[in-house]
Amino acid sequence: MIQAKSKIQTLRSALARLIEEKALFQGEFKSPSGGRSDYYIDMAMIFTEPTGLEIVINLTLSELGKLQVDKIVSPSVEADPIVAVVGIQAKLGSLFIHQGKPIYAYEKLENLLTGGKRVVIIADATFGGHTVLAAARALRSAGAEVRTAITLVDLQKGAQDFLGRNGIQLIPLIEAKDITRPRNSMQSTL
Amino acid sequence: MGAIKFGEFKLSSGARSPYYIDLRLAPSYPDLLDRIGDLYVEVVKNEIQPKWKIDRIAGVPTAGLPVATVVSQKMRIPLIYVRKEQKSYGLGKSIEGVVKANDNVLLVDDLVTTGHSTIEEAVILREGGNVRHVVVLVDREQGGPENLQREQLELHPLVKITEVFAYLRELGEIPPNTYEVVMEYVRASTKLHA
Repeated sequence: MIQAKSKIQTLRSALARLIEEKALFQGEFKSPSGGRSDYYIDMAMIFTEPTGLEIVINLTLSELGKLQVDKIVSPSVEADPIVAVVGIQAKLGSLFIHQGKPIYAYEKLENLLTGGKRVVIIADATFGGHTVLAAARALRSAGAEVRTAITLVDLQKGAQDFLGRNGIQLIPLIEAKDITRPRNSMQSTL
Repeated sequence: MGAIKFGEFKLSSGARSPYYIDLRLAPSYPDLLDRIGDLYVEVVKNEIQPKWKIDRIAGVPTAGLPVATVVSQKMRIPLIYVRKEQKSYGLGKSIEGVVKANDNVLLVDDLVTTGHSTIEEAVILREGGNVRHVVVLVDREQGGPENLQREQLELHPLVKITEVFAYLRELGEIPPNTYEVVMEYVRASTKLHA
């Protein structure tokens, strides 16, 4: 167990360093719900590349392993790639609900929840948590049980509290405090 | 899994169709998505890699992105993906991931109908790298390969839709009259678009 724990710690710091090197952008950015940030983390820069993808998959699987889960859900296009491959490795069906709307043209969400209603939402990044909550609401109205969400990176802009108040525990693989940002805030890290 | 439905459907182009394929359902069945991924990899290894070095796998949201990611992971080739509607948040880019000038980019999508939306995607991707080959699960046989060829794009489908219909009829999964309707639809629209 101690060994397994330290392996996860190693993967976590490897992911934090990768983010600093490849995915951290400085400047003025808008979040999907309209919030503002003076930096932005683009997780696509990490999971589009094989080494980063393996790290993210392994960390996500390790969190999923601690939970009771029947299905995993992507709340936005940005999380679709990671949810699809994690689904295969975890042998869990994955569902896609973008900005609160299921993407399926001719199938009801209810029908896709047969065989287990405990779902875990997996986000690429969280700011205020609104995108995750929008997916959770659609899932709940289709009869699913949503108690947990995993985010690859939480920018610590209130998502943990906001989702907590709505009955969802947010588990971040990495938090903003784990990332060291360069002093000159206008300089791109690229 | 109900990925093919028969009835009266409107396609993304606005055209009507007596059948509809929804590959967005595939990730609900992880073993199936895994096997579909293996089939794509086989076609890529047999038909494309011997003559063309691949630097990037390109996916297209929404239906095509999960399988493109699976192919990228299985082949350990970096992924990029097209954003058709520009994001108003974050970095607002039209291509996600990293692509360098002269990188060979393999376009991986779910299906091709007339090829027009595939061509739009290839045009965006060509701002980044070279695009010559397209791999899809299903060719709906409505002029796709011919239209793509005019844009110097070679289509590699895993199956053709008429093969799927013939197989389903053999299994007794579609009634003979529905079979005739969909086959006639494919024949008529092939003439229209070719």
